[in-house]
Amino acid sequence: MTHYLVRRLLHAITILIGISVLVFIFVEVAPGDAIDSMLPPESMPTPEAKEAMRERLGLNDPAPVRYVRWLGRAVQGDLGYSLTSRKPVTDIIMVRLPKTLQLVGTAMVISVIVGVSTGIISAIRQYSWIDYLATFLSFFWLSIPGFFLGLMMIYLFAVKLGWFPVFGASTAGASNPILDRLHHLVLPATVLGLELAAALTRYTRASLLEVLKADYMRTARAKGLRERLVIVRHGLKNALIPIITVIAFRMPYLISGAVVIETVFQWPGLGLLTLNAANQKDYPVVLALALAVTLIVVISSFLADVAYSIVDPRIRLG
Amino acid sequence: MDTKRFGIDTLLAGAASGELSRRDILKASMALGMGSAFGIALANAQGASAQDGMTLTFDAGATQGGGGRPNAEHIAYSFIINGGSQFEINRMVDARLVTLSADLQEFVGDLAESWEVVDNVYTFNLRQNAVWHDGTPVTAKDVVFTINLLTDPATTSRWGSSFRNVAGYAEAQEAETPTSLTGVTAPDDYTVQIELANPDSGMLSGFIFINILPEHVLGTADRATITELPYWTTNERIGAGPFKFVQLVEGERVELVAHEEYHHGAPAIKNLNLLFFSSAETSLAALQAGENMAAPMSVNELELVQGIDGAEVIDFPAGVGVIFFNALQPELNDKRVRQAIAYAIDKKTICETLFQGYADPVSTEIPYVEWAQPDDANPYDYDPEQAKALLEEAGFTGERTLGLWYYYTDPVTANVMEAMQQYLAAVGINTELKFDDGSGVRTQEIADKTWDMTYGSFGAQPSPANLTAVWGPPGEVTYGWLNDDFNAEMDAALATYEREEQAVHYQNAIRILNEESPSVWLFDRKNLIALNSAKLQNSVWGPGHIYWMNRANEWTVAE
Repeated sequence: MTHYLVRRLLHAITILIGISVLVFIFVEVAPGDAIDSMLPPESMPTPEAKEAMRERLGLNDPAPVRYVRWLGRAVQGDLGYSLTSRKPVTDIIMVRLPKTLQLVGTAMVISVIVGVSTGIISAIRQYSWIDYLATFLSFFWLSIPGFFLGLMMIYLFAVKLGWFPVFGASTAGASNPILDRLHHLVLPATVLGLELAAALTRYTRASLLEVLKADYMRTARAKGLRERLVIVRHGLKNALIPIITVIAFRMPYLISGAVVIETVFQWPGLGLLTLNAANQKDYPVVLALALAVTLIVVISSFLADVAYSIVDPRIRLG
Repeated sequence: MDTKRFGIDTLLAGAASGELSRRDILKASMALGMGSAFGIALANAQGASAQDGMTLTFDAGATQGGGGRPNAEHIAYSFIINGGSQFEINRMVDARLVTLSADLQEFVGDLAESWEVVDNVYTFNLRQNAVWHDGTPVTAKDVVFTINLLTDPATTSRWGSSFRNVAGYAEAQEAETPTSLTGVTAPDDYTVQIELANPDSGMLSGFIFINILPEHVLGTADRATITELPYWTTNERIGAGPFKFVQLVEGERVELVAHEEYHHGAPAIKNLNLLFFSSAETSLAALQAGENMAAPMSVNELELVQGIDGAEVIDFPAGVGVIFFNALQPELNDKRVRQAIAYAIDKKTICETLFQGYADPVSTEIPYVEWAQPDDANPYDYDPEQAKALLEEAGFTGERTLGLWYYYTDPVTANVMEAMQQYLAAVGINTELKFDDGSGVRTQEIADKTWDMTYGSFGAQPSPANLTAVWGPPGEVTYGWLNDDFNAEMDAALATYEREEQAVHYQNAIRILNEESPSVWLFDRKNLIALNSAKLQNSVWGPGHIYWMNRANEWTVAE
């Protein structure tokens, strides 16, 4: 097991370095100049003033020099300073990361609870009205763009019914900050979670249907086990492996989905930060964000590997 | 059933050794996951501050210039030295020496109670009741410090050149930092004297954009790195404006509280929360739900806003939409081609349809500064036949497609651009629309002098004094146009302090621009804002380039 995990970890580090080089190259060849986006279009700065700014920010050094300098500091947790806010990038990300984790984590929980249970019911009651309803709803959610769904939910639940706040992660001066934050979380997390739940319903249904036809299921029933036990212990556990893969590899989709949802709900997480930083050519922030997303993806696929080995001991031996 | 205590270490060890069942591991992972999510919520809840009394919350995203929604609240701070004083946060936290009346016709004092100009010496008498947010009195030393800071080449401030005619400015540009201007002095705590080396009646208009900074806080800071201080984005920030900085809630809002000793009277609104929406739809939804009192909007959202109970749309000048030309291009060097472009565009129709009435057709710069406007300017009313005749006279072949840049991100501008492209095509001028996404391609074309035309704005300006920046000698390097008569009229206007005499020269200068068309002036555009007028009272909005919240201390919000 240890050997297996170490091997996975080394893979992960190699991927991280590769991605950081790629992202650095992309930012490098993208048209644009951070200095221009730091100033309003009407500010008409003199070329000398711009040059002085470039020099001060170290933008005049060759690209490989800047990459190595950046990587050397990055491994020590120093990701440099944002070109626009002049704050340490690590600080900016550490403020935003918990908000995105909160949103994506809650969405994940919602999606697993809703998606897996709906999938199970759909599979067990194949071709029943409940299966048709679940199929219809999951295709409905899958085919509607997230921003549209987000705006609809805002209009219905925040503007018309007034059950939830329209935007943000908190209210200024709220009397109970914790409840206030949870209250803000419900709508965006639900929109984000239901998108993934729709996909999970389909995967769970397909995977369980496959397993239900297997020989060992017939054997389990032949042994006289109760149907519930047959489904949960023999059916679901075997159906779980592809579902874990789906959950783990949906993580990047959740993060990119969060960019849209965070913009619509004005949720102050990494998604909104990514949008603003990309618009402003704030490359230390863009680089760090790309790295952070890679890290999340690598960690989630690593966790999927660990989860496989827990669910199916044969894998850790392989 | 025995209870096992789980930590990550025991969990991993247990999993590896097989002591824990898979069910235990799953249960423990779930508990850890839920625990950390709750922990995150708790950690985030810290730093919230109670808000008692009258509160105003509004979307200040579009107050940041550029016509789009840059919406990064922290940008607003760091560039106060390099040009960020136009951001509403800074306008609320800081005070200025003088500002402009809401009708844009007169200068009015802010920190200055009165001023006079005698023999090229400006003397400002400061209010004696102005104090910084930390209680220290605002004195003449602060004004002197601010001017010295901005004119110090080490700060590379965009505002420094406002003082180019002050005695000692040229010397300071060559001196070691920290520099100080010999012409700027404080004879006593409440008097500032500025001695000019050359007459400059336009200097007052520069002060409108300059926020006075506290010498007792920033006086010893290294000027080359002053914009990088944590001061700008934390509650170390000290101003003399109507509201005090409380905190920046990253990605969400900026919280300000009333400055009770504000020199124009304590604000009635006790808490001011400035929001920065990335999406206009969400901002308007928040307005409808009562979570946001005012939302900057475009004419495309008019129908949406009309459906919101209690919402009112107000407007104020946003600056004139102009096509700037690169007169170094052979076709555009001929004034008949430039005039033809003015005749070819049906400004009236565009104003009525695309701007839905929230713009007026114009043909001169700063139309709202009425005293400086000539009454005989050519309106360049839509006349495609005249345009074709001028083009033919100029020998314009239309073989080359001219690039037409624009940088506003709103959908209305995109429609206006397409309309203008078609009007120009109708008289035989082919254009390619080029959107400047801030990536520097346009800047590069400007540096290479290969650009043709840009639709943009000179910004809503307080006085004609700044016209030289584009159409006078400083603008020649970019626009390739220079006119001795125009420069002579501007110099004459800047050399006199009598309004009537200035008016004559400014009107002549604007008349020359109107005739020579080094740029084509098109639409006097408006900023639109949807506000909850049932709740928001005594609110005076704009002029946008000076304030959005004008006389903010008098505003009230109904409970």
